[in-house]
Amino acid sequence: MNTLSAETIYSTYSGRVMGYIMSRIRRRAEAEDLCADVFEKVVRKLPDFDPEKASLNTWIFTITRNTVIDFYRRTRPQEELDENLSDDSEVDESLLKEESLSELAQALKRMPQQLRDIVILRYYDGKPLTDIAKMMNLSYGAVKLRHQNALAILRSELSPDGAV
Amino acid sequence: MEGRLRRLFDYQRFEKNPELQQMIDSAHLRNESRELSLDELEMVSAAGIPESAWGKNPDKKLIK
Repeated sequence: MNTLSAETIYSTYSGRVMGYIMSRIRRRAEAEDLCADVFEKVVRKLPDFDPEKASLNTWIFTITRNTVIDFYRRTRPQEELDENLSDDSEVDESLLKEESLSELAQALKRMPQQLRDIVILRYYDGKPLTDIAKMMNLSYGAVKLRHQNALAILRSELSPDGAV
Repeated sequence: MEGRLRRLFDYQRFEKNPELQQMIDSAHLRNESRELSLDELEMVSAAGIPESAWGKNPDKKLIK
């Protein structure tokens, strides 16, 4: 692991780290500061990185995500944290890899467009079903039913947790 | 399943799988859901005429 230089890591991951932070913070100046914080932590913790526990990709993602969560808790304690950031349900971290995203993409591709959109608006954007119903000009009941159908399809299409 | 989807879509913001991103962008276009950055929101706000420039009751400005 120690053969990896800070420069190599920065050139490989800075785009992904900045992209994630911008999608969460949405203000460039603050995002650039946080990006610098992330790489300062990465370099400091690099001697402790264990490739048997997590890939470098997942490790850097986790540091980035935690840095964003800390930022929100520190600067906007009165605001409710985004559902995707506050979600602490038991999910196998080994799921966080490119193959899992490809598998999700394939499953969504096979799904009717309207169900796919509901899944994306609910779980990528974190929008409540009531908002999705308004956006799609559907009743709340219709969106709720389609959301349940979409989850049932994904349960049957995706590998069990951690098996990807 | 819901926790797993939240975590995977959050990871997508970092990893940007191109096929998945295309579906996300299409869903946003169809449903007009793209989030503006705060910098963009400030530009939109600056371009408009703020309500405060008119006062609470703009009609009153016409009465002498």
